[in-house]
Amino acid sequence: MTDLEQQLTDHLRERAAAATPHYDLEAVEAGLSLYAPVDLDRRRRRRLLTAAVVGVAAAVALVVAIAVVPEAQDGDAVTPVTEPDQDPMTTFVSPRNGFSVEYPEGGATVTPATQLLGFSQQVDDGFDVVETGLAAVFKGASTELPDGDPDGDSIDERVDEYLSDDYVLPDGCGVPRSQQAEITIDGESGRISECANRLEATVVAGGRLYLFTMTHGRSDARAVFDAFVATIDLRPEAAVDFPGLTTTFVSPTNGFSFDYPDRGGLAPATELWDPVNDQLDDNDYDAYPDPEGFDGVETGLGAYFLAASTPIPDGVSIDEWVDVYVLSGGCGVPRSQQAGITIDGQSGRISECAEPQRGRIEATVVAGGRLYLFTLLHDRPDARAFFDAWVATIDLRPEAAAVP
Amino acid sequence: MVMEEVHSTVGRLDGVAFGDFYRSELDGQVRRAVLLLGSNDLANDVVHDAFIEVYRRWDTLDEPGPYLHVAVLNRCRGVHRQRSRHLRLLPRLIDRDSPASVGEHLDDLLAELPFNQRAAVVLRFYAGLTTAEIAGELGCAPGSVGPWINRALAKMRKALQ
Repeated sequence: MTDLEQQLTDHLRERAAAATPHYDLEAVEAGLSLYAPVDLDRRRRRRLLTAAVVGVAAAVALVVAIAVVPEAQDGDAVTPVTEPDQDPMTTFVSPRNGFSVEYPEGGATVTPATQLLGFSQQVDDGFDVVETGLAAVFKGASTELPDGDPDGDSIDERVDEYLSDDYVLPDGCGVPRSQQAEITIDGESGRISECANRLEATVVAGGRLYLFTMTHGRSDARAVFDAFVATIDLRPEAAVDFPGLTTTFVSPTNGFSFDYPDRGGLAPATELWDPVNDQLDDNDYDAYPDPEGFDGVETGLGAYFLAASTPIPDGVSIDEWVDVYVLSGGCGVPRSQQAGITIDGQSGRISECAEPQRGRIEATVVAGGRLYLFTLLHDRPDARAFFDAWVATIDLRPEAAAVP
Repeated sequence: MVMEEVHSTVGRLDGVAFGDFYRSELDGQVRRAVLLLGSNDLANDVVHDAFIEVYRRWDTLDEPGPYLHVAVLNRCRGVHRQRSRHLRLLPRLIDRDSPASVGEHLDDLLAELPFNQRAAVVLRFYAGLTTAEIAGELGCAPGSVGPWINRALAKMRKALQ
């Protein structure tokens, strides 16, 4: 036995001797009536929802700030009524928030949302913003709001909770949702509140909370708002619930760049990946730190990206070499039988593991004599869409990879 | 009604009451789980849940001992998996240069191992199991055990240098 092995043996015995049981037989009996599996997916959704609502509120606050045009700041000055439907209408389809709305072409500008509500410090990033040119700014956003609540809170209470956060809606009207007037949006019953130079409407549809606001300097603001709302088409199935990839990382080791959501979760590789001598197995993906040689990004949203590359030895069959050395702990599908994927113009392969609470998507591609492996560890139902969005930002730069 | 009364009437297995089984296994299972997880609290929760599962199936289990072993191991694996992902962000918060005892250093190194490597090390150097026995516990091929232990030791040696 080596010194290390003896040291380990002694250490493990010492730690084991210090272990003390906390429970007893009666606790087992009591536990039988209390035992229930943990719904991790629900936890994730609640985290997402909280973040999103924070973002919504902040964005709405920004809307208000923008909408308080000079006329609105002067309490006596309001713009004469101009119905928005006097101009030809154009339909805007939100790229992230799962709705469409029509707006008058004349003088209006639209800024689509680029981020999850609450994800960015720039609150407005989560909102689709329509500058109407009519002394009014219309904004819309949405976030996940699963049915039911473990705490038994009503929908109104849950919405109020989200919108009460200063980061979500710092200048909200503050009227409890249960006391707000009713409004119908795309056939769904919602609520609306009005305060100085501002309207706020919320509606829940398809497991999502929608928030529409308008800041204005108009005497007929409610009529203008209603005109916009009448054109809204809620499309919760089209909403995107993963964050926008807004920061670019250029790997100093692996010869690629990609965009990622920056929340402090970037962990660049500190060594070169050597799959032949340090072969990956299934457990490496559960290990901390990351497998050696991988650039990693923890999104904090049930998704962890890992990426690495390595020179391909001369004379090997790519599919066989990948099967033996790269994906030996993979999803079990030989590379030659995997689906195709295009990464930065190069034809690659992709496989998806669907273990409960431990999903994994792996894509491999060859460029410039290097084998690239891009992996997403996740517990998200929309993981493939998230992975595809990430892959679309990848720029392969084999010439820039570090040399052993 | 206390547990022993319940199992004195309905929970017998080859003449062994669940209460006797519980008492004979509890300390050893908690010790092993502590070594696999590095946390007394987590280990107790894991073992407790595993005992509940055994209790629920007591009348149908031919061999509750091995079943309990696997249940504890699988729960440790699940906890390790969830915790590992959280730990990925911790290095930003930890001062790696701060002094630590040899024991703490070994704890850190064990915590950084993939679960199967850690389990193989614990079962070999604490429980003294053979390669075949470790493979049986972990549900893997015997040929996997040696490489796991060797890789774990290599990583630890490298870190200790």
